[in-house]
Amino acid sequence: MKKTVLFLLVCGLLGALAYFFLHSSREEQVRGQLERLCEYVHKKGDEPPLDSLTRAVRTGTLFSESCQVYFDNPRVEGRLNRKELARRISLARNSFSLLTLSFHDISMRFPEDNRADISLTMRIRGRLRGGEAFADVRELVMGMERADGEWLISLVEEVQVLER
Amino acid sequence: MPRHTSLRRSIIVAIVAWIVFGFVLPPIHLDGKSMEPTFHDGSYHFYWRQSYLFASPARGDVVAIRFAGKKVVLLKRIIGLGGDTIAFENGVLFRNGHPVPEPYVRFRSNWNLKPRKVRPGRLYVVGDNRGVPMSQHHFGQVNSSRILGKVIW
Repeated sequence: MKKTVLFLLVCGLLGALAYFFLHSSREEQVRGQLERLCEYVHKKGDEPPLDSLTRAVRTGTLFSESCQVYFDNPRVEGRLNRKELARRISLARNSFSLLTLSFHDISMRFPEDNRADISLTMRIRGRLRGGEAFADVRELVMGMERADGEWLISLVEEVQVLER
Repeated sequence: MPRHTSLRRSIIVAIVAWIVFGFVLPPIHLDGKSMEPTFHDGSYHFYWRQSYLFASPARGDVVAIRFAGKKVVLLKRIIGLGGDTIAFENGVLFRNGHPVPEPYVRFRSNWNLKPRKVRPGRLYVVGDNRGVPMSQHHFGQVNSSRILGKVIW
């Protein structure tokens, strides 16, 4: 009897440990992808065109082949492919001389093994080519899917906090 | 002073600071000019988390508004409550059809916004700096559940 209880306790503990490590590892992977996005978007001054192109291509690799996008201002709505997304991000980057993207208050849940639902605050700060300072904050809902061991962004949706 | 007394005091101070600045009077570092000239870019302020525990938000209150969490918040002034009709004509605020004197607004540009009703459970918020083009200013109606507290200093 004693042995059975001990065995069940050990099994429970191992199960809890396995769940904890698997869960935290998934969360770290997702956070890693978000950090990579910030890193690729970051701009600290004028950069050679080849660098811009490399960053655009790298940014594209973080998105799934088809990504659902919804932004209120500027209005962007629909499914965009990886190439189109990278092109738009690259265009937006080009209008800045300095640019920093950061994510805050990230919370995530995993409704399925290979799917993550993320809620976060996105902050953009920088300087436009004209010299004006730029700052913007948005709340976003993001969806990520794991394909071939890699988490890719499949949904980016702006949450409307203020409605005119 | 014995070492353990000093340690105990430090722990008590740390716990009190954690409670006060985490749950009662959280600090905010302002990044942006949307509340000029009332609050300046780069300044530090505190908001009172319990301000709306027994009272409702009022017109004129400056409040902290949350996004996905509490680390990044917006600072705005309440100019309309649920049921109010808000409009701007040549930079002047009209509430329920009447012009509203706003002594806190010093920079004013030609804002024009057609009348719109604030839905129940929502508040209409805007920054004090109306000198920027309307398209570049974050304002509008927000769900009252997003209000974290009133800015008191």
